[in-house]
Amino acid sequence: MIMKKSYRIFIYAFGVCALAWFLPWLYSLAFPSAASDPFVAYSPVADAFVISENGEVPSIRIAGSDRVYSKEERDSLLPQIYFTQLAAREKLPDSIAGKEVSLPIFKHSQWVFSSLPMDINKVQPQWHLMMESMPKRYELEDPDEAFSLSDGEVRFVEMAGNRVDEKRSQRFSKAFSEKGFAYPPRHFSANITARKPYDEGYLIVDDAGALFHVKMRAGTPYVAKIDMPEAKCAFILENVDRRLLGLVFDKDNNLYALERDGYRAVPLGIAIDPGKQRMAVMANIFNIVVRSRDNDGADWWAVDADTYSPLGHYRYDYPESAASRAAEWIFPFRLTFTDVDDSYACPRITNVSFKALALGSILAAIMLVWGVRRRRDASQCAAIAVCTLVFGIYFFIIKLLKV
Amino acid sequence: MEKAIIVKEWLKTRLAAAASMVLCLAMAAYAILKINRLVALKGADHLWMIMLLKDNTFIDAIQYTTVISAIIVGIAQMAPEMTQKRLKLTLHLPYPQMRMVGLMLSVGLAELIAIFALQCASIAVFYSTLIPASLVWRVVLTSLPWYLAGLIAYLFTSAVCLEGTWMRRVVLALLGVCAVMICYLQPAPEAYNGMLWMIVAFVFLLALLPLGSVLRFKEGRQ
Repeated sequence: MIMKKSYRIFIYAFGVCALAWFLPWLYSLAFPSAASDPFVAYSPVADAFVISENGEVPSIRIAGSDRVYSKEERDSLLPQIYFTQLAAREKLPDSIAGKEVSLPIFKHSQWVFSSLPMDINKVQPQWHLMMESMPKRYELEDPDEAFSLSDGEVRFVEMAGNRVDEKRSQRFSKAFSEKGFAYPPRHFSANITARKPYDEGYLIVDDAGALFHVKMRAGTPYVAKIDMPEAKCAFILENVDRRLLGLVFDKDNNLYALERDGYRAVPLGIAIDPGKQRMAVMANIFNIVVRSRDNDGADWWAVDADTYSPLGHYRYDYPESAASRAAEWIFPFRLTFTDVDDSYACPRITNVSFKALALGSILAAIMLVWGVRRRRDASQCAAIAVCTLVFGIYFFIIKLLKV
Repeated sequence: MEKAIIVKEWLKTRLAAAASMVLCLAMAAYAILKINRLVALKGADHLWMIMLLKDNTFIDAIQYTTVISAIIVGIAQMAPEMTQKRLKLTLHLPYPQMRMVGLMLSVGLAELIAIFALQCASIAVFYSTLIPASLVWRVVLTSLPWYLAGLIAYLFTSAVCLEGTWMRRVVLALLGVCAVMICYLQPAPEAYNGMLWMIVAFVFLLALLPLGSVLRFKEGRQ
């Protein structure tokens, strides 16, 4: 009897879970509700954000104004982006906002960086590749050694032969301990590729939140401790202009620009959680625009490229689609095992909606009538009705299948 | 009696187990040869780079072999019980019925675990010559959900085969597809680390399904 009851409960519970996973997925597949960002950039000419929307009626306007601009006008408003268009039409001025400009200057000063929560929220390998920052033949080469900081010491391995390089391990371990590195590290950042202008190695946040700059120069360790508030994570930059070494988040998610010369960490007055929000940084000779996105909308902040002083902020909220509003009335909750913001698999209940109780009540009433007609006992009818009320359409379908 | 049941189950499943073993080891050999080719052509450091930078474990070839093997063993073991009406006879043997079914399932699970362990060990031993133990462990942890998917597939296959009604068979098969799919949703290495204990617990709970199917058979639901 116990076995039979356990079997039934298991079938019902697993059936509800499977439907709570499958039905909302099928629904979102049938009624897609994609939200897209407008293209937003900061104009050094108008000293304001320029917003280009690609909706049903494409429009280009300046934030806070209703005037719609043509594409040619936009090219002039955003010379740092459309400089090739302006040059082709011979409309590129010699200076803008008091700065000398030319095609090489624009190309040299612009860079883009992006980070995804998925790349942070994942099980990181214990081994990391180390490039040679001062290669003998001047051109960067693919790394041939990897290192690990997992056992309270630095351990280098020659990858081709899977052999530990004792001398290098000892040299790096000594350099780390001299700088007071606290094992294990919290966060690593490096660009491991030979297709970059130069190599700055790693930015590493240790267990105490201290930030370190680590690289290998002619086979020897270079370890520098950077003076700044407790860090959460850091991203290294190896741009052509060599001005910034990286972008750093402190433990309160405040963003800092880390200058290469002198390791000066400048707060930008922007708070983003890189573990939850998607971030993109677009820099040019005039300004640095930081964009963060989450499920509700996107924010853009602009800061001056020279002084890092704030220039403006623009927020765009994603419109809620009719399909997602309707889903709130149909599904009491949603079971998912993956998320776009991480690389983990685990069960999570999302989109809990009390509006679905209305449909649940109707379905529960149907179940009650059905139970009474079939002369089920009162306690059984009540249990089925309560389950239908709570689990809504999922439990109702399982019951319909007469499992 | 236990020994007799084990021998009976072994006689029933030995061919299927051998076929599954060949399939699993052949796919493991294929994965190993592919890795070996990569190392020969581009060097072991290239293998490291792809593993660390691209989150690749190079053993994707084996991921569905576990499920296919489990279905083969499950059908070979449980389908004759229903098609040749053996289950009725089995349940009339002087042995507790639930223990009998439990023992049958244990034989199938033991065969599969042995096959999976051999496949996993062959890959781990090969990898240990190329990369450190912590990275070998990363590969093993990445493949563990696939092996658990195999055990899930076996238990669902058994439950479907032992079930007497077609409606319930369809429902169980659909639930089985869902349960197996869960183990393949996230391809990132070690993505299932936090969920492995839940899948193991789920595998234990799934033993209820074939037992439930037998109970329903005993009630005459055919």
